[in-house]
Amino acid sequence: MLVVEPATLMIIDASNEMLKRLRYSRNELIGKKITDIDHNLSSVIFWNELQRGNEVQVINAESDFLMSNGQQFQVMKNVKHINFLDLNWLIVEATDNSKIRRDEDVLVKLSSQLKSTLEAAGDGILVISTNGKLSNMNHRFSSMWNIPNHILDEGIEAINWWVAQALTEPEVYQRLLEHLDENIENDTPLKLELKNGQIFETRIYPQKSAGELEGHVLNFHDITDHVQYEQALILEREKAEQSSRYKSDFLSNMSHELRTPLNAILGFSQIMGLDADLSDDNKQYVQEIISAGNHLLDLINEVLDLTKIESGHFDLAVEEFHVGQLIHECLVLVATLANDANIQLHYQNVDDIKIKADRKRLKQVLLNLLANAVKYNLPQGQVYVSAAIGKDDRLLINIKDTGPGIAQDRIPELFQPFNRLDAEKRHIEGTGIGLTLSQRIVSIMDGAIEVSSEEGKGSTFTINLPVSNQAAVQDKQAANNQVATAAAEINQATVHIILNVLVAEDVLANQIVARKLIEKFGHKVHIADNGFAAIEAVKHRHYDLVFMDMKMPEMDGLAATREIRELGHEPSQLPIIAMTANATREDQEQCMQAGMNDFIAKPINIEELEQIFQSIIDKKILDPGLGQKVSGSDE
Amino acid sequence: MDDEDNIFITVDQLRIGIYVHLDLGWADHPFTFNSFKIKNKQQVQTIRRLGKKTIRWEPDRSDVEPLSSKDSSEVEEISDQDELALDEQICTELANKQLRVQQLADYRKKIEAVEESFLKASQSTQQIIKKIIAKPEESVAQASAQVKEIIDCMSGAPELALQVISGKNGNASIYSHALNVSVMSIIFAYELDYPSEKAFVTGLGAMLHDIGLIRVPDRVTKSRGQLSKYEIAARQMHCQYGVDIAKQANLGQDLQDIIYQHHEYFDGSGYPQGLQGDEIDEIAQLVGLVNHYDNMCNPQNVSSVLTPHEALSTMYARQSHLFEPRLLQGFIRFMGVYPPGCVVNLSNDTVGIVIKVYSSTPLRPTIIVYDEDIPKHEAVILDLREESDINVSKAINPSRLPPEIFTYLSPQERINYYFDTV
Repeated sequence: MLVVEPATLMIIDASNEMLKRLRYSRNELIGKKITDIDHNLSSVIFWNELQRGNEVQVINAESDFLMSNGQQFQVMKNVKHINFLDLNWLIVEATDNSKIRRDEDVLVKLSSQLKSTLEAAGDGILVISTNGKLSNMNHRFSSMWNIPNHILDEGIEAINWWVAQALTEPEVYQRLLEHLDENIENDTPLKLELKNGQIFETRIYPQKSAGELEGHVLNFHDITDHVQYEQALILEREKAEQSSRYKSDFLSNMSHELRTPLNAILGFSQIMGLDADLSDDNKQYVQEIISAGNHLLDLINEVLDLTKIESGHFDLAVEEFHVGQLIHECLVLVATLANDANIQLHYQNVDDIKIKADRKRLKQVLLNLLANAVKYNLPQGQVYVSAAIGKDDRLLINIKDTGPGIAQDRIPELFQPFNRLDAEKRHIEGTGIGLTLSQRIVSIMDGAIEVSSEEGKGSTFTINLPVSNQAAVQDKQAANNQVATAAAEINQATVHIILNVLVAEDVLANQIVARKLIEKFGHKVHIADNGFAAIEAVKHRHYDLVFMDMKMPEMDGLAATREIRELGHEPSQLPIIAMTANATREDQEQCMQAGMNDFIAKPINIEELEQIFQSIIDKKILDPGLGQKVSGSDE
Repeated sequence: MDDEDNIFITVDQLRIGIYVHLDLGWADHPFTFNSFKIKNKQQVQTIRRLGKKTIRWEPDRSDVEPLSSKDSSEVEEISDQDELALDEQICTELANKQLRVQQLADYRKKIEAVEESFLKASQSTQQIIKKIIAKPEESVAQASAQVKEIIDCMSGAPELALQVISGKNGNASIYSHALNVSVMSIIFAYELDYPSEKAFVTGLGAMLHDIGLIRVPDRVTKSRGQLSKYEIAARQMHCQYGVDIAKQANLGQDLQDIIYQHHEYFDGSGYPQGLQGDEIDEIAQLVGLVNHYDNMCNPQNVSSVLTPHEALSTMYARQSHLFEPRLLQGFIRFMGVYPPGCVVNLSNDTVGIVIKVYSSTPLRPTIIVYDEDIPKHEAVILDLREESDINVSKAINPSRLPPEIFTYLSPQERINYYFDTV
């Protein structure tokens, strides 16, 4: 405490405490002007104003008192006027404020740290105290909700109202506010959909102080972009899937469209070919037609295969088989070609190699390479075939020819579609896509075709495939073998069985072809021209076999098959063979699911037909309970 | 802050020293504040006459405990006569308060009017500065007209007040250094009893003092961080450039001097010439001081910003050697210790922002006070000249304010000034 005289602003007395704090002795302090001690700007002005009579007192004013050593400390002062007797004094009470100031400073520092942390957060943050007041908020929150200033000014009620009305369902936010406690740290954030199309995610966190819950922190995260991105992705995927479906449909349609007329060409020409009364010339003509038709069929098959691979609709049917056996089959098939071209085939029969792969496709590739080796050879040339297990457990099938060889820099061109390396000029027959297709097939099988060649000497094409060392499916093979042997024995008995065959087919030409071919085998044929007719026929008559065309008007093959299977016990056992120009995997599965037993591709191949009849007959003999009409005698 | 402190006591338990919350509409009671510490018996009796049975009090802010209900017999009974007198008094006070409400509304209108004038002036100033190189004479003419208009407004007014422009109108994009320095210089000139002519020259010189900056590259003038010493030197050239432009525009020597010398300091530490003491033109000293102050409050480098009170305190405590002593004193008096734009704590524990200062009473500014129960647009405006019981406790840094108070008072990053006539 200090006592000051108003007129002169001189200090007339001081408490001991004050003296100690200021580090002045009584003598030193008394007589000094108060402004020597209470010396900051506002105080100086105050004392001056007081002298002028404009100010009288002051309460709770902050100030700095100057000590004798030049240091200062902060005070909170009250200046009061005292009228004592006829003395007019000012009493200055000052309390040391330094600690409070320091604490305040720490608080301010923490507060601004908090503020800058909040502002740096990428999400909008709103903190509401447990008694419903606004504790804190960052700019991101007000900007993401687009809260106008006048709403912010009005406080938490207005802010909450604003947020709620921005949603397509305001009650969602209201409910959230009512149930803040239950929603704390829920694993799934609450999704908020705004009227303007934005989407926010909100999570609630507790705000605790010394273990007590003080408030709730609402965290808002903008996921609009994320959601849009997701939706875009889904859309893209759907488009891609649709595109894929279109391609698939295209493939099967094309397949059908192209093969149907070919079926007529090859079918009729095969029938004609079986006619014994044909003149020699005509016989030759028919062979030409068949040959040309087959060539066209090959081309179509290759193109469709290529398209299938390109569009990813190419599936492998993996089974285990002996490589040697496969190579042997291929050589047999190529033998005619080789003979005509005067080429000798050599095969080195190596160990018993078994691999797991798509047999049919590998055969396709082998035939292609073998045919090439023969076609692009020199007169009286050689073809050497060998197979061995190479390093890394890979199967290597080598096909070596003694042809003119290929220039090193042109080897890559070999695999380009329609690039025949000028072979057209040499009048060698070929489609130009055989190698392309083979390479694609082999690469799908996880393998590769390697070429090494020397001009003037010859070329070696090597198929490189992974081997599977499992010895699987042996039991099945054994079973198959059993049936095969049984069938073989039976064949020797030359029993002739006549089958009742139903052919469901809408195209007239195909009907005639089918009838003729089947009758050549000695069986009886009935024709139904659509699914309905087929069902009626099966209801009224017993058939041993049904050939069901897939694409028919009114009711197609699949539907008809399903209906037939529902008809009763016998019909459910009836062998139904799909006749299809489509051979895609999906189609095959669809046929199987509908209840079909097998399928035969169009154009109909006589050998395949024979196999089917044979297997039906074999079954009948093995299980007489199945059928009836066994005619024929042991002759 | 916690409503857990909400405790209700009966009106009979009230005594001097209790901090009460009236929880009534502001116009429904005769007191200045809705919440305050009771300091005399009349206040106790007035509260009891308000018709409330219970009153909310705040222990933390009270000096004493309320009377226990048993001791309510201690409460003085007042005679019927006194009761009547008290009621009359309350009526008068309420009527006064109604008047206050009306006055506040009028007050607000006046503030609005000043802000509108400010906006116009601000836009005009910006145009002037843009045109100065292309059409120097036209620009000068427009500046002169504007200064004249301000002077005409001011002359004849019994008292001038410096007013800070509020949040919605005074933001960074509107801030005009030239206008600020000009307005402050003119009022200061009047305080120093300059004749109109001299005040005009002061105002015009202040408005044009930084025109030379147009010739300094943007990246120097617009840079918000620390400048390298080369950049500082480049910037300092603006005094010379300014004089060149002034000559082109045919400005008189007195104006040229202001433009050339506004960065000189009393102790010779200024630039470009390092003039000392009386060597510096008198008006240039004035404009230089005002310029120095505005640059502290609205610096180019945002990290070094000071509140108006901090700026004044610094100039007073540590930079007094840079200025002519009486000039500095006069400036501080007229700016008012707690200049407009300052956020202050009042002695009754409320917080507010200074909006107006009267040069004759530097410790008695006009303040908008924060009250959590009163919406912002109806906030109480306190004229400390009429509230002798209340004084400013201290100035505080706006960044220390809790968010809701900050939003309420809206202290601005850029302090824009204009004037009001009383």
